[in-house]
Amino acid sequence: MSQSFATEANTDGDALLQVENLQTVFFTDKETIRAVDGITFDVERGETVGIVGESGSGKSVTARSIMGLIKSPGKIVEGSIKYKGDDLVGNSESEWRDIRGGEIAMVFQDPLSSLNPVYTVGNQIKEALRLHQGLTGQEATQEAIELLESVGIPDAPRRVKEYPHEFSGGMRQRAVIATALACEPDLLICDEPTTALDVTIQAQILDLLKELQEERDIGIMFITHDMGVIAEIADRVNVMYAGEIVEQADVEELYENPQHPYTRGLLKSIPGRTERGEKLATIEGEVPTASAPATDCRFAPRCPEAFDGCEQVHPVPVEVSRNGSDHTASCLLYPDDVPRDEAVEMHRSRSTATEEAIDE
Amino acid sequence: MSAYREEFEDKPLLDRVRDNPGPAVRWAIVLAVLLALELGAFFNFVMSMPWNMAIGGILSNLPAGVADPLGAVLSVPAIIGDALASIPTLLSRDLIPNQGYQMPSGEWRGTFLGLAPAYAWAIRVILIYGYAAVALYWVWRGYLVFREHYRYADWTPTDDVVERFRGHRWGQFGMIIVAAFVVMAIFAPSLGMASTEQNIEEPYSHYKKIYDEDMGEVREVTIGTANLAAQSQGSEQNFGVGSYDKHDRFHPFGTLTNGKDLFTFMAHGARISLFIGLVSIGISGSIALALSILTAYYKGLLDLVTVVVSDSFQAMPRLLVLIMFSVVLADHWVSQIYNGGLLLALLFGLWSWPGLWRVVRGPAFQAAENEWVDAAESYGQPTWDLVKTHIAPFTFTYLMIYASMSIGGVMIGTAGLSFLGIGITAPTPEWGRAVAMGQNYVTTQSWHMSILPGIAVTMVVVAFNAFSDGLRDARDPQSEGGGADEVSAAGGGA
Repeated sequence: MSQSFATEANTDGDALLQVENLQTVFFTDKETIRAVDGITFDVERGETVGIVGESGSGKSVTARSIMGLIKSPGKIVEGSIKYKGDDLVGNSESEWRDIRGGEIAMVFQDPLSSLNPVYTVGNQIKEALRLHQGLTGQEATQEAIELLESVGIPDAPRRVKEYPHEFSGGMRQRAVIATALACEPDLLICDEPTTALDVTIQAQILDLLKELQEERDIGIMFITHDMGVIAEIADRVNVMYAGEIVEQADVEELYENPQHPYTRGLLKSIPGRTERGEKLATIEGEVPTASAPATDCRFAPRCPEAFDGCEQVHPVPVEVSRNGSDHTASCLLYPDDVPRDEAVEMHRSRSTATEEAIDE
Repeated sequence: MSAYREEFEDKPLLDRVRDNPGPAVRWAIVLAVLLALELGAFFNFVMSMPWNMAIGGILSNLPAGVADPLGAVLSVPAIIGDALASIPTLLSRDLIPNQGYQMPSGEWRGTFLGLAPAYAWAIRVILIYGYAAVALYWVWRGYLVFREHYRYADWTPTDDVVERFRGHRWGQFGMIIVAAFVVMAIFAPSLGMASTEQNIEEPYSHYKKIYDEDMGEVREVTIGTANLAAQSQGSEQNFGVGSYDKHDRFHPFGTLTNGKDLFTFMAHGARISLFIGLVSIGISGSIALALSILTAYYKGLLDLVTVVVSDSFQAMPRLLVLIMFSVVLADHWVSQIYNGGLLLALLFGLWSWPGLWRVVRGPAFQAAENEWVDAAESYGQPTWDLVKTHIAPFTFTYLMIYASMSIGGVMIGTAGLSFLGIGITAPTPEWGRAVAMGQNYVTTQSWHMSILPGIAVTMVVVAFNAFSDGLRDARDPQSEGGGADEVSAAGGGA
């Protein structure tokens, strides 16, 4: 399938993670929810790829799909997740278990609930060490202490014996990161790891992740709804909306030159970027729940720049201009250097081609 | 203190004890002395379980080539166990005998210090319960010693649970009665007026001395004869609470219609009740726990199948199923053990898991939703380890609470079935049988036969409920004062 319209530069085969046209669908009694609807992106070694979007845009489901943590009634119906060249979709449970932790590890949103309160922090790190490095007893304790030190927890020999409730929020998230590192992964998925933390701690955790990435040369997939955090940590950014990636660009390019109306709306709604006394811009409405394959632009109802074509043609990712910058947007306004009718026609023909490819 | 703690952090408990052996050794010595005094009684309790029948029954179903060597191997622990069980214990009937006879002068021969049997027996009972209280206290002391000297953490959530239980009078009341009941079961041979073998099972093979006034000498009669002369049958003849019979035997709770001693009968009945309660709850609790954590984790189809299966189990009329099995398996070796006691335990176990599973399913589902379950899965923990470490601990306390409530239900069920004559049959003592024997005499002088075991069953069941109520309140800081709606899950009987 010729889906990779603009990411060709990255799909040279040795990317750490290549997600192509991933579709994860939840089949509930009432309706079918297309939580992730045909997204494509790559993560390279040593690179941080951000995924940003509102609540309900399918960020966490993307992460869970990559970890194989989609439970019934959810299912990956289409697409591939290539990790180091092997497709993970369709793996058996035991194959997934080989991937989880040791290859891809995940840091969850809420550090309070991702540590089990009935076991000591050390105990939980040691469990990961036992599974992935075969360390037990005194050796494991020593390694756990070193891991805690490496994530910046002072007095680690004492801390390793303590329970999660004795840790502060930031400490806990550090401990969770230590647990993930205990598995020695090559790819770290961070699902809103700083959302539950206050800003100073947020900054520390982001610095920590950057440091660890340099040290261990791991790829990081960083999920957040916070544009500020993304600016801080990501190299490349994918903006998700209603299960689709609507804009994809390098971080500087995205912030300097946001193209998709949704991205622009998101950036405008960051407090502090507006003048003092000015009212903060919002995007009216909320993220729709996708229940059928898209035949229009899902953002159209909220889009300030929507025109008639938006309700008839499903936009596909195209380069925003033809000068070859690595910046794509799924919007009928682009490419902006061709007449609008031509652009709409281009989107229409490409999305039809995609649909036909799916139908086959 | 903190510097002191630095020293032994990160060490296993054993090393911590080695570094500071004082308190632990002092505690252990006292415990060892306490245990040594009654070592024989504990092994007697263990060995009194009907091992030989169970093992014999299993072996008889195996081919001889396997069964013979296996039987030989299994007889070794049996011999050791019997040897340990015969270690003399301090608080035994041999040391404080109550089976003597009275000379015409009023003087007692063969009893402890020449006291009347009632006093000799009372002294033994007080000593046994005193001993049990001290032993239990000492175990509690052990926890305190550990907490004070060897535990690393200053505080753990368990401390709060303990603290809350200490303020829960109703729960403590339950605990005391339950403890008294368990002590009665463990020390049944020493508490009883005579051994079951002597008084209940083979009365015609045992003898007792009496002073025959007509012949003017001491002679021996069989216990059977003595029992015949001690029947409680309402207005004709009655040996009620605290009476002596014609053969100088004291009956603290009176006698049964066949002249057997009610207190001895009830003490051993406590053993049977406890045995059935624990075995059946062990079975149903394990099934419920395993199913709850697995269904909570897998959800979907497995959960649905379990719901359907458990509903089908619950839809079967339990009483009829029990009756059917006790008839079908009447000649099977399983029903020989405790005259149907084991069979009842197994049936109750296999038929009461759906209720327990339903109760712990909710907490298990709740625990499975926690992010740490996903987190553990995301670093590749195998499924069984995962449910065991991350879901089971949050389910287990609920299970324990509801299990201890259901024990009451099982006891009532057992007593009810025995009352109807289809549970435990003669000669194994069981409280329901005593109630059944006395039912025709409830309105006569011989009321004790039904009323006393009935009160005992009620007390124990209420106590188990109170105890589990206390446990639940202690465990859950939000339920202070306790809502009555949550207690209603106690299992009803058959």
